[in-house]
Amino acid sequence: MLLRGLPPKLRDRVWPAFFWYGDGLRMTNTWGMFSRPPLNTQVNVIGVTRSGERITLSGVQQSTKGLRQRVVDLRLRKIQSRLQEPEVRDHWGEDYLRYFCRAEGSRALVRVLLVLDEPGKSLETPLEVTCSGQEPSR
Amino acid sequence: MISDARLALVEFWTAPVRGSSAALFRVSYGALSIWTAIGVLLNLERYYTDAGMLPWTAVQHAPEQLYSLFSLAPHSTALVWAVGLVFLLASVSLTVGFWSRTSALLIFVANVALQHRNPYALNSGDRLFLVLALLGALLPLGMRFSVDAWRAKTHGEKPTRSAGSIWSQRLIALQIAYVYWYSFAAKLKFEAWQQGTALRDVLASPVFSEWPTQVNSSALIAVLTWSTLAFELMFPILVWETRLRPYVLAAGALLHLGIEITLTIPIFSAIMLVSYSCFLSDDETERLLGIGRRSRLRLGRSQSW
Repeated sequence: MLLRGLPPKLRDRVWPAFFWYGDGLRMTNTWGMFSRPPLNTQVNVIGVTRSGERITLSGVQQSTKGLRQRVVDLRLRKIQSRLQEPEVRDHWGEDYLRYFCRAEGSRALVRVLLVLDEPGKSLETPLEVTCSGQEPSR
Repeated sequence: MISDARLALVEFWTAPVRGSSAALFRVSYGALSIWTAIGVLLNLERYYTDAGMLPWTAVQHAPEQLYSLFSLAPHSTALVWAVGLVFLLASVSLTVGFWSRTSALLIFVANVALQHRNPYALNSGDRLFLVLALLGALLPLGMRFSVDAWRAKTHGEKPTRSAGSIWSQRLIALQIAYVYWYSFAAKLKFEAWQQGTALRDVLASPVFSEWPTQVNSSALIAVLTWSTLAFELMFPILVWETRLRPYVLAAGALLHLGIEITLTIPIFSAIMLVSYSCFLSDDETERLLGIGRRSRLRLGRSQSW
């Protein structure tokens, strides 16, 4: 219970002995919820059709959805907000966007873009994939 | 003096329980678990299979996958469905108190697998949900108000007045106290919390807030921010005092209802509220549920459920 909250140097020393318990069984955690200033970047997934039309496939705003879809998508905001982090984006972002190529197959998407919308800044598109199986471009 | 303190410490860990608070924990945790399992099943293929948004190849290198059932057949959609269904069935059986401890352990095993399979969908509440599944399995979950107790009675097993001692309930209570203190200490490191402005950013955040709102009243924001800090600091101190406990838990319920309504943090507030049952004595739980007199009379007649 207390191990994860140890000072990092001490924790790194003892962690190998408790890895099975802490990370394997996920029985320890840090509990600094809301302590850091929140990231305010909205992460949106935009699809581009053959005709050039841009469609929002997945945004973070829950309020525009119906009740059932809000319940189903309860964790989508959390999942998608992780893609603000460059290392997460590098590791998994392309897989995430390719999922929309498959799931939205009926819309005949050509490209899927990850768009970051941070207040006071212009829109940023750090990642996109082509839906025809070609190599993604950054 | 020392002997009094030692006695109090011994009683803190070994006081006898009848299982009413454990039963309240079981039913409320079970109901939350059913809700969570339904959420998992509604998103099973999208969040947890190769056909979804996170293929196995993206997570397979994490060494902790060794502890996940999915490492046995990582590309099997059938296994994912099986784990999801076991999660739901175990949640139902825990709620009604059928094979209660086994059900809690199954919920734990299923969630270890699911959480390793998609770590990006999780928040601290999910981790606490998992921790409480394992610690909860140590509670006398099925001793009262359960199918297990009813079966024992119909099989002629002799009812007991005590379901054991309170130590396992204390483990959960201390875990929650630690969560609050850790959270308090983590917040104090940041200027926005020290200056009483942190909740302005939280309530305006398009990521956290249900309805992102810029609250312009500095006084209101300061009161909300500092009262959150004060609560997190004082809860672990005051909650052990019997006279203050109802007020402390009521304040916690208000805080978590506020979080639940204004922020989009799935499961966190709910699991914190579920855990509050472990701070209650059996008498307090029975009074809360309005079953005190009736159940004490029943126990007086040696009926255990």
